[in-house]
Amino acid sequence: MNIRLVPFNWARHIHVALVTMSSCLLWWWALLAICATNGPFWDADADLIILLSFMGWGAAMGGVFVEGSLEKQSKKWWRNSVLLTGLGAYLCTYLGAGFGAFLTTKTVGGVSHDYGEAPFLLTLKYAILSFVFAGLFFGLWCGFRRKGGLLFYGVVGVGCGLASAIVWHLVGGILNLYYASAFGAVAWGAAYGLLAWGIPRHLYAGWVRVLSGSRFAWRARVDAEAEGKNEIVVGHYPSGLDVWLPAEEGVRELHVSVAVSETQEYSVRGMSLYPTTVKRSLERVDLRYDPSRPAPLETPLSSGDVIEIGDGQTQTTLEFVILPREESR
Amino acid sequence: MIRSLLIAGLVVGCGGPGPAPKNLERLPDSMTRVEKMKTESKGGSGYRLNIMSTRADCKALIGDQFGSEQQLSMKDCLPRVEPGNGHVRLSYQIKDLNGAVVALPMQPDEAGRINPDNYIRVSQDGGQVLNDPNRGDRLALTPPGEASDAPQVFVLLVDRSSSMTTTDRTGETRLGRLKKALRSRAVKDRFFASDNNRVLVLSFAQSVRHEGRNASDPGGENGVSWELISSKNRDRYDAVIGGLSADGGYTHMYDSLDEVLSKHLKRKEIHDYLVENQALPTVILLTDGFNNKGPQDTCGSNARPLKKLISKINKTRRSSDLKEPVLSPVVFTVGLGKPALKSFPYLDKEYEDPKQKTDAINKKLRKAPTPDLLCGKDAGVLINKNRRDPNRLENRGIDNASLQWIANRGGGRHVITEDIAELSKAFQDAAVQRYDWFHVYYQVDPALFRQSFQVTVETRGFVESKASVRFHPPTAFDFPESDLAKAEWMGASVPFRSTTALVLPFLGICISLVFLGAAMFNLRRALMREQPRDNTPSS
Repeated sequence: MNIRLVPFNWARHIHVALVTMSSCLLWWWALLAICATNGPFWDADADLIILLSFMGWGAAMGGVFVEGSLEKQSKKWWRNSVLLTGLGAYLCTYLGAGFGAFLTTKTVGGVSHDYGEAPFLLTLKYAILSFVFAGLFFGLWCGFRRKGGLLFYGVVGVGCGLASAIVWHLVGGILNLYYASAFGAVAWGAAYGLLAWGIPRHLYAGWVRVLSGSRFAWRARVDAEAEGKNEIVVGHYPSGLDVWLPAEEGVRELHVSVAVSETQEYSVRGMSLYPTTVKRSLERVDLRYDPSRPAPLETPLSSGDVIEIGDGQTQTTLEFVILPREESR
Repeated sequence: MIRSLLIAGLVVGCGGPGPAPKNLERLPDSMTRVEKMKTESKGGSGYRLNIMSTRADCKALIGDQFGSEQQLSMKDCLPRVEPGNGHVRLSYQIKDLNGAVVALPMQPDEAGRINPDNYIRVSQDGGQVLNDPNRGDRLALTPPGEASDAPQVFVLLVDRSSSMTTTDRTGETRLGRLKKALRSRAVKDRFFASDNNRVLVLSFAQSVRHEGRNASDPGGENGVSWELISSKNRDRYDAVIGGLSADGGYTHMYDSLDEVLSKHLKRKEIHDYLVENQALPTVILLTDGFNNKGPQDTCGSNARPLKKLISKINKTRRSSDLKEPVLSPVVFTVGLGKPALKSFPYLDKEYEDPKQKTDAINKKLRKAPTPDLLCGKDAGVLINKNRRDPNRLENRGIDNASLQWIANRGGGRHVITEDIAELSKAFQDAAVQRYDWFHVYYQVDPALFRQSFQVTVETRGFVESKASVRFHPPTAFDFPESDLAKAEWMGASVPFRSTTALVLPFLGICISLVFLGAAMFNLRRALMREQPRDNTPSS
């Protein structure tokens, strides 16, 4: 996974899911390959448990891969993650699925008789507990390894199990268990990637870039971390500005400032009586300073927003972009 | 709480929600399991139908076939289920009381197929599987291996009554046509397909006569050995057939067949050969008339002796199963002429479906013969040929009813014909090859495969036995459907190719989405950005 390919937009939220669902699918493929080459060597009763364990294993390994590729990690980290997180997830999912199967025999009437008759494709009631508990145990293990909130990860795990169960059941009813198991694995990975993961904001930093005029391509970083500043000012005041622009291009002494909060939220503030507009898709925000107001107007900034200073022939265009921190350096 | 759950999971997390049936065999290339059910031998038969559903079943078979041209594997032997297209394949064989495989005679057509209705009956969860395209059902039976060299003894029981000298339009006698058919190369090749096959030529009129070298004991009364002609001595076979002559009066057909079954098959030299070689005796009865012992015999009066003969056939076939290590004798009948009782078997209604018609006929022929069942309205009609009474049965043709009844109960088939080619074909069909094991294929609605189902195979004809297996479909995941493009049944297994076909496009989509995010971001920037303008004031 290459963070440079992940812009700071909706893609940031689905990229991890793409990796984890792909990983789950590959693990499902590996399970089928084992069965195809050597035949399943376990008891048939454990088929669902094995399948769920492979799903959990695949999702956890996807997470390890994402985590290891976003930030440089040591060999020890890789070794521990692969062994502990990956195999631990397999074992925990196995135990959870087995526990769910045990509960099924105790709580769902008729399973002792019907299991032999096996109308499985259309009877989710015999499998749902295995899915849910497999997800729960998987989530708890992932939370433990990632040092996250166990409650949150437990809920995420149950979500993975439920999503996978629903997809497995529906696809199995419409098509067959081949596709059902494949799409069930994908659903597990997708749920884990979407619910538990997103590429963290702290891996990105904001930039203000000049797109017009004599100072075209000048830029300034807005970054509360490391050596960066958490607010930059754009204007043509003789000294102390982060981005100095000539007055002939419609820029006043202190025209706008771009700030970043502790929670990595960016905003722009208009400080001039002269025209100042933020343009984004289907939206224009006028930030011209109104002396009757107690404070200047400001608006949140997202990556790709354009700030126009001045008007007519004396106008300067700025662009705000959020780039991966490594790239920004 | 979490620790408790983990410990509980550790304790119980090693099994499924059982109790599922145990001793199930996983099928190759499938997550489906098969469960062996009990076998039933019908009518007290000692032979047992064995549906090969475990690896242990197949090991012996694979061992037997080792070194043959057709190498076998477990995949060929174990059952196969394709839930996607509703196909099932089963392998079966017949074993005797000692567990030895009994090769069964079956006649494939030119496409290598056997008409399954003659040999088996297959049902899934009680519903019979038919060759019914309207229902989407199909059924096929094939011998997957090479023909067994298990020997057969063909007993030709030829009518030598005086009517066999009757000449037809071509100027050839019936006996002459019979000789031509029997001496044709195709028939001899079938009779002597195996070096261990033997042919015994007998004739009958008022008594049975051995047509062989030992003419000093034609009726088998003096204990002189009868001649079993082997494949090495085809000239001798030609000579014996060529020496057949018609000299008899009345046609004691029932008594002659009874005598062969109860007496001559038990002659020492024949019995010893059958026992030592596990040979299958096949009696081929040929006649051109009716069973009659006197001028006052009517069709109806034949019902009682036919009933006795049928009883004898039933008893012989059953008792030989139990007491003799030889297979039940099979009785084929060949009628040389036209059927005299054209309406036989007098069904109550017309059947459009040939399967239903066959079932109705079989049901009728399982009853004991009565004058009405045998002759219908002709029960009182005299048999003997008489020029002044064209209604006499022998004036009309031959006794197709008795021949059909005898063949049906004898496990064989009957043929009524005047044509030499058809006569030759009839003898070829009677001299079928034997096979050690068979594949049954059937196709039903795939929806029936979504839960456990039981398949019952019932053999008919030679051995009546029944066995069942129960299939348990996969519970969590399965292999992809096989590729049926190049096969009528059971396409090639393609798990890797198929899973690759699923996995690679999906990964491709994921990778595309990875680039799509960046591409859309840059597209948006490109659309939103204004062209750089040089608005620096000119000096």
